[in-house]
Amino acid sequence: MRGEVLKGHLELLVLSALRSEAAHGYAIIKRLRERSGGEFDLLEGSIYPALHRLEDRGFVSSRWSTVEGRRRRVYALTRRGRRALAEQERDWERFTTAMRLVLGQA
Amino acid sequence: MSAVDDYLGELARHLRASPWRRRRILAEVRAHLEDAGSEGIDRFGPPDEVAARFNEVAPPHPRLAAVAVLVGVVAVFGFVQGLESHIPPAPWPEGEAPSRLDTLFSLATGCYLAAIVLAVAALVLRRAPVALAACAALGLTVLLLAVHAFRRADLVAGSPPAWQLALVTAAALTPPLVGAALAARRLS
Repeated sequence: MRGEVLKGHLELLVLSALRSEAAHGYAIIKRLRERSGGEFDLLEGSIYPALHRLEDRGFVSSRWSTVEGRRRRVYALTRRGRRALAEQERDWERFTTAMRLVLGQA
Repeated sequence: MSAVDDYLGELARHLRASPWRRRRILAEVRAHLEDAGSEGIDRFGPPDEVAARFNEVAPPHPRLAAVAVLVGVVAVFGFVQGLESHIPPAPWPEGEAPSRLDTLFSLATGCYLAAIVLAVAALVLRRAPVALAACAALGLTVLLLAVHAFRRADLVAGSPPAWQLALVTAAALTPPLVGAALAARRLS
């Protein structure tokens, strides 16, 4: 699953990947791939602009850090980001519930 | 030159960003591609498409906007001092100006002080909304002072012509407008 299908959910996915701990872009991609059982195969170049957008909106903060001997930009959820994540998760629940109803799967 | 260098060169060619931001993007992408290994470039996507995604992200420049406002604050002070030295004295006694003029000047002073406080806050907090508020406060200051100047000119013979006042107003409005543009979107 890639491209357009995931594009609309990228923000929620990235925020969710940062919920437990801070991470750099490559680690976020790996985390999403692992958690989705390999289903979420993102175009890797899409993650960084998404992270920059989230930072501009104050949902994540970032700093340079040395990880495993390499200098990386590490991102962490801010308090505002946690609120946004909770809100987007509620929206997602409502959406999936409504979709199940429409599809007759409820 | 390695494939990663080639890719980064091509990405840099398509990026529209400030030098600081460009350096950060290229450093992040380099770190990623070095982690990802041989398939990294293919999986990252075509450089023009990736650059286009970065270009869509328009970070605000609250600090530059704040500096623009502070420059405007000094400019407004200079304009007011300059005007005061070129206008004829008021025909009414000191402290007995028509009440509307007094009110306008008091409001302008309040907005002026608010612009200074907000600009300093924007410098410290780096928040675009605060910088925009500073721009708005300074813009309002200029407009109130302009209305004050036009009304006073109607009442006092020998005042500068309207076109001169309009010119000064337009010049004084430049810093807050530039600041607002900086706070709202990036400089390419």
